[in-house]
Amino acid sequence: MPHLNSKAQHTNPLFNKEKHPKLVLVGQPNCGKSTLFNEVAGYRSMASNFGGATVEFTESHVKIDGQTYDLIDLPGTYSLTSMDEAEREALRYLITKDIDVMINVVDASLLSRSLELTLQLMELEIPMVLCLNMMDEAERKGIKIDHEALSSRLGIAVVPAVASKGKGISDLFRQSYNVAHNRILANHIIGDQDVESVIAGLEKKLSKQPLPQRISPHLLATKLLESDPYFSEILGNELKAVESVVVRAQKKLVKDHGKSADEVIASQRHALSMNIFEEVAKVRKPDLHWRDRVDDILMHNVWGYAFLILILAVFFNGIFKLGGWIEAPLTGFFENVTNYVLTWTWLPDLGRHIVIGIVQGIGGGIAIVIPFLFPFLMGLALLEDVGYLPRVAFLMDGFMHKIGLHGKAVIPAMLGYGCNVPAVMATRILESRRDRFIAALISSLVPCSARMTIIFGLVGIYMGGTAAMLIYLANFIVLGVLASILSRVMPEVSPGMLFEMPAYQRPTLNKALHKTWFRLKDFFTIAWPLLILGSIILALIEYLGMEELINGLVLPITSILGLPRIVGLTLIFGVLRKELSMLMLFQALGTQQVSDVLSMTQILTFTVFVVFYIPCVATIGALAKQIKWRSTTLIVILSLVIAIIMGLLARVLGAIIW
Amino acid sequence: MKNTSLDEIPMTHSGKVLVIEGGFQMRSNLNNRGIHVGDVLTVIRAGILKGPIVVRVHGMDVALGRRMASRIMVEEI
Repeated sequence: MPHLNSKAQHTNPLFNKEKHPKLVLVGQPNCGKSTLFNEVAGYRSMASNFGGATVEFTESHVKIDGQTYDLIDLPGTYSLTSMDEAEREALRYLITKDIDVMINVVDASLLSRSLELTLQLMELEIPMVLCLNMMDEAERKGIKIDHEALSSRLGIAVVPAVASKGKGISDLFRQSYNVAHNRILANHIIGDQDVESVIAGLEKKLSKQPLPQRISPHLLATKLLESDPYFSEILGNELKAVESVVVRAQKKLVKDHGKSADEVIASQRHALSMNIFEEVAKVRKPDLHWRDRVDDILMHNVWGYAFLILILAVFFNGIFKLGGWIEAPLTGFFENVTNYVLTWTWLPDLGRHIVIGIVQGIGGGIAIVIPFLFPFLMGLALLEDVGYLPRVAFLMDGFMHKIGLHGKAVIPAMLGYGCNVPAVMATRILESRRDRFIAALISSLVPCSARMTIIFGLVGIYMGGTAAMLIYLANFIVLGVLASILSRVMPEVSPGMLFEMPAYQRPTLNKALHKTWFRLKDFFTIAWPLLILGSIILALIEYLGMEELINGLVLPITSILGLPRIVGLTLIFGVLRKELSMLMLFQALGTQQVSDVLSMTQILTFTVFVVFYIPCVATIGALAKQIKWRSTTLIVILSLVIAIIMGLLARVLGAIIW
Repeated sequence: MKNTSLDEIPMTHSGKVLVIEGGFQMRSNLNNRGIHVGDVLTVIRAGILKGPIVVRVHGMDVALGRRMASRIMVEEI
């Protein structure tokens, strides 16, 4: 009974014994692949209005019109020439895995450019469907595409769609099923005869060699002619056997065309794409859109900066106000729980300490996440979905170059003011390792909201708001100087930034919420466990009465800075969670009236030191994930050195003033 | 009608790409974003303090740093 059968599938598609068709979404960055994926798989992939949001591939079982599919969302890739981690991941998947159908998602408004990838994908000889996504956007840009003509030219099914509105999706999957079933391959598209004959010649010679079976000989010949490093790497030793033939073929291309072999191939592919585009599309003058007017203001050389400051001011103030308002009752609640646990006299002392450690670790996580991290990431997701972040990178690039970084590095640094953890995570948007390292260093030294509570709670209260702002300024200057020193020590290799300005898009709350949740997962899996573990260790230190020992260990630092010995342990607590160092300071001094015990100079020195020294455990975890342990250790040591220097300066300054 | 580098092209003016001075990596990166030899680029924005420029090419906006722009030779049209 088919009805029962389909019902069984519906209740648990994963247990279906039949093999599901495996569909792979592949396309250029920001073409709407992840949006399409999320539309059918329910928000499992990170979609954003900024290229390179998906770094790893995401897999899901989806059921459309009664058929279950294995759907994979690959990271965006401009071409089959892998330029970064994400592109390499996509390429590796395509040439090593069994795929039933490859769905090439294309931003219809950028068809001429996107066809270059399509042509390359066709060479993979995997059954393929083309999804012409963002048809509404193409229409607005005045591009009218005859999808049937395109389909017959390429020999593959072409399905127009607007994934963000769910249009065309069911048709897309129906066509994909059909293509998978009949294993329909694309036409062989022939470009320039001269170039093709060289490729064919090489292809023939390669066919005599024992080469990887999975890669089509035509693609391999093309890639070797381009001297694509990834393909050379795959061949490894086998490359030696064919090297002389490849070099001879390359020389022929250079001789006939007067440019390097990779340029010859790239320009023939480009010409072919342009020809196909002109055959199937009509372009009229685009509608003048409000979005162009918006950029005239938001990217203006004067107004752009005014709006940037305004937007950031609203953003940060909003979060700090909201966060502060929510944090107080939360902290209070966990304090009550701690006090309650203290009454558990039936539990041995050690057990009580551990339970309290766990409660404080959990509470600490919640008191960061709910009040600050969540609103922060939510606001960021909205700004990102609108498409504002690339504009910020554009505006800041000139300034950032003064300290040897690209404009894009401003995004993680900005995030750092909220919380260093997502800031460090965000450094992955930078291409070069050097940039990622410098940006990660800056991001972990920017005063986050936890350090803000110390700056305002100590310097702000005892020396006034202006003094607190001066600490921010001092931090800003130090980071600028640091970045420019580092960028001289580690000279620039990349020739500069290059990115698309995506069109503005209307953000949706649903999408922003999912994205926020996606990013929070990083916090839950990396930072939080470390925080809880750290809290337990501290509880044990207290239980074992090791405070004095630790104060002794930290003595070299406290004595240089002219701080009392008992402050030592609070500094260790601060590594766990920055604001803890202030709370512990109150506890260590036995009073909230810090000025009764510490001099003004000591308060200033303590605050300055805490602002700069060692990133918190959660940030260290994030750093280790992003830039590996060696660089992380370097950052930890560097931050400690800077903190000592700045602390000493504060001590000297204090001695002069007071 | 003069040959110059892309960063010398004034705002709202256009240039046709003659040569991209760079290796495989840089050429591929530019090609991938729709900038090829022979394409016509229109400079639509230029940031202050030697900030990046934005060019419109094939109906899309691409931001590129000045240094990269200085390595793209164009014929002003």
